[in-house]
Amino acid sequence: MPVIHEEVGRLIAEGESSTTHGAGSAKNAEILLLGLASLLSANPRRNEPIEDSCQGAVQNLACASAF
Amino acid sequence: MDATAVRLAQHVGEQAMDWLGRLRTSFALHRDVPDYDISGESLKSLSELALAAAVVAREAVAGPRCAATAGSLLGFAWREFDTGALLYRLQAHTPAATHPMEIYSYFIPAGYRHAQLDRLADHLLSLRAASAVEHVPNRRLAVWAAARRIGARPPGDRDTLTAGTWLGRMPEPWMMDANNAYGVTHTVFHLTDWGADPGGLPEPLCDYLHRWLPVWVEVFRETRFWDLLLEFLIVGVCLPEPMFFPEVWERVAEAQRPDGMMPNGLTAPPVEPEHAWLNHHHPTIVAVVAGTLTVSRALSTATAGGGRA
Amino acid sequence: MSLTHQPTPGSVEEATGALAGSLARALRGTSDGVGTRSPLASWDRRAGGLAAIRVLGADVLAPFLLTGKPLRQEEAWLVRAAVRDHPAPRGHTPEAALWGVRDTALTAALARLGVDASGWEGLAEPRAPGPLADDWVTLAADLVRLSTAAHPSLHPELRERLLDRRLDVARGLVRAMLRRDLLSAARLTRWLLTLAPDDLTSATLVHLEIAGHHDPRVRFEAAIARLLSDNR
Repeated sequence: MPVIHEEVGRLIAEGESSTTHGAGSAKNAEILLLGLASLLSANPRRNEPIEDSCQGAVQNLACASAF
Repeated sequence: MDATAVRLAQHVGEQAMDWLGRLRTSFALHRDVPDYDISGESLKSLSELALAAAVVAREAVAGPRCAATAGSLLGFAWREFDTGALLYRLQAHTPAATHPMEIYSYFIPAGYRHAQLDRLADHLLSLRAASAVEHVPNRRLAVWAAARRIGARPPGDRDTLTAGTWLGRMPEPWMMDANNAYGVTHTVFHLTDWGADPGGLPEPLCDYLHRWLPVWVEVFRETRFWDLLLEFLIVGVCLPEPMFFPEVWERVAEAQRPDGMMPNGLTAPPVEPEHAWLNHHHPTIVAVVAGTLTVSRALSTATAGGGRA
Repeated sequence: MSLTHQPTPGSVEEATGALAGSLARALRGTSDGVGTRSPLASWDRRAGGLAAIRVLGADVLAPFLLTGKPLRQEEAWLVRAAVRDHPAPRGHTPEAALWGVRDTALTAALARLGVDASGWEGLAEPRAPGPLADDWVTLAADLVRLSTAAHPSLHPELRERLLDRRLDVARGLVRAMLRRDLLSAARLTRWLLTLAPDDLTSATLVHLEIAGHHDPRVRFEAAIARLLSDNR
């Protein structure tokens, strides 16, 4: 029983998701960044790798823009 | 906001200004092309540099070195625009475009004027076309604000224009995305004349921002989207009862590079400042404005007796 | 739960999701057979079944509490067995405090359904909830964990304390939505409905019902929230 009970405890104590999730992935971010080109002063994709600060779920909020 | 946090905001702003001063030639316009071939991007970048410098000059809370850099950059930018003549030529060449007069308006609070451009702007803003430009709503407010600064009749009225913006509709706050976020920040900037007039924000919008700004700040702090986060920090200090985020300033300061550049938080900047300039001068400019206005409001709030929790 | 996360087959998490789905159907009154079959039927015979009941706490009683369906003895027995098999941690840890609030809600729910659970083996010792966190981010995270108490009457003391923190709870909800953490968003929506509904909670609830439909736990929370909203 101990392993199951551990899982019970974990599920009960589990709160919000640990990182911000969403459809964002490094790949999506690249596509979505195109939309942001007009907002930042230059197309930030040019010659620069995407900053991955959220373990792959990159900047979904930041990148989801009107398309 | 305690004294330590205020000093931190000041430090971030002044370091950022330092970087802008050193990178000024990156902002220079191409002189070997016809006026109308100068890229919109470079016009925008240079105008935003002038805007930040003008805010620093206006607030007068910067240390002597930062203030001197601001003054110097203002002069540099004005000369890049041919002391206004380039803006006049651009406006005359493309009467339907609003960006030349918008750029011009940034210089006016700093004491720069161009008589012919005044006359031209005045005339263009009085046309039927002026209230019909196919701009997104917050940009229409930008033109309205520019007209106000120039002293021309603003096209459309403030409340109608505001009601057309995302912020003006006060939507479900979780319908925020980056595009709408920049719309919100710019709506606030135009209504308050870049923090000069917090009273310019209608009360329902102040209440709405008071409720939800902390959430947006927290979300973009978590994703480390510095460019947008710093714009939201500016929004906080444009409110009649300012909102300060001292812990966020600590994160911002940590992210700022030792040479004063602020990374945008979306892309990884190269080491060389001249190469990093392309994608990271904007957040650095925003950092100057955010730091300056935060210090300014914190000081005036301290003397008046406390901000709003 | 993110779109990409799938629970390990045979795990308590999977069983919990399945139970939540079953309970959500019962709440909507669309269970198979004309609503006579219990949503808890045979859950003790399923792997991780009693554990899932323990995890969901007072929420397993939602179909009975919110739709007037009577609680049968064998169903109460299942809950009792789940509590006994998964006793609350003792002591003065944050974990014990968390189980304490949840078991208070569970006991209150059972009492409303005519079952006296005082003295049941495995229940947490009754104790007052600790002070609420000052900052809204922590408060919201705590309330997500305490979601089984998000009901008008299952924990009056906690609800009372939250009445002047409504804005902070709402901020937590908006943040959860922006982070696409729909489970947390649904739980915080329940809290807001428990405190007082408004236009924002209405719109958010509809959004969760649609966008969270693929996740049984979100579906379940949203179904509870919908009944809390309708019953006001």
